[in-house]
Amino acid sequence: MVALSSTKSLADDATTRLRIGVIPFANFTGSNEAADSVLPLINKQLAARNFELVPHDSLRNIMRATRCNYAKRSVLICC
Amino acid sequence: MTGSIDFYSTLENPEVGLSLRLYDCVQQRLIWTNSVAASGEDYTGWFGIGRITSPPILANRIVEKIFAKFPLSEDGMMSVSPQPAVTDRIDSVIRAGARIAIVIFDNLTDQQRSGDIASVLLMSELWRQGYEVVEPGEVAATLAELRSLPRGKISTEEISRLREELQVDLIVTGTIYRFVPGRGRSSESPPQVEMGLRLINATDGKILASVSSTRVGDDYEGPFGVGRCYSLGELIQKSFVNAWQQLLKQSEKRLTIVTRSEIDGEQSSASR
Repeated sequence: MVALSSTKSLADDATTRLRIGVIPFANFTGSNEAADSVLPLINKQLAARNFELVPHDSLRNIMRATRCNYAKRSVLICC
Repeated sequence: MTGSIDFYSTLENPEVGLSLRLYDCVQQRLIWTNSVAASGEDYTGWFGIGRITSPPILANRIVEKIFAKFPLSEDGMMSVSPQPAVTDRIDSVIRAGARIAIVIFDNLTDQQRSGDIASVLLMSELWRQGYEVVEPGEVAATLAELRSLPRGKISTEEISRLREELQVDLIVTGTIYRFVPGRGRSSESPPQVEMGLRLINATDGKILASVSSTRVGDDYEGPFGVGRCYSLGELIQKSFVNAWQQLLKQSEKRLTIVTRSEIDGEQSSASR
């Protein structure tokens, strides 16, 4: 699991503005159409909320640095 | 946040299933997870009105539904208590605080990834019931250190590693034998699932309980077809509810979990 910087525990603090990193999803359907259809909808929902989203490039770098390699097990798709 | 697209069927009766989860990077634990699956038939009212035949439209409904229970409000704050409390009855069997790891189910069907899908749906169901479920990525990373990726089974060495590294108390795994999506309104084509589940005590590696479950969408049908499952994802989730209750019932007499706070208490009193 990729650890992202955060100042307080998410579950215990109701006042902190949250910083969220969206890790690539697993696509168990085998259909590219699924990703094309669902992921923009998720992006839309997240965009409607006032989170601080971690840029994809930063996440990608962290995942590379920590050698996260889900690809052998899952088809990965990025939001 | 991460998740998976579990179902996306473009058949006559489309089905879409999605799972999301939120991981608290400070406390290093899951704080929310939810799985939603539905088919176009689930939106059908009287005389067939409302049926959804377009997968993208169905996907939109599913995403809206899953985000309706998203624990973070639109101003970016925590909006609700993310996890329901463990009920008293279940709490008497497994005390609050027991950590559960799910080992990906074995898949004996011709449907690819059915073991992965079932594992994700079980995680959401257990979390919904108030259990502390270990993030699957943590389980995978820990087992990867042993160069293993078990499915439907786990060795003593792997159990010990999960116990030591992740403080796991219980392990759930199983096998999927049948995994058939529904094809529409016809009574001859409801979704079907057949699976076996095992609950393992991580302390000693012994199997506490083992159950098998065979369900079809018609099993939940009431008068006028009300309650029938058209979606395989929903059927699997309902199957897990029953199967988990059976697992608990079987394991009740065999299971004694000593919580870490009790262990710490005993150690501190012994050191005095």
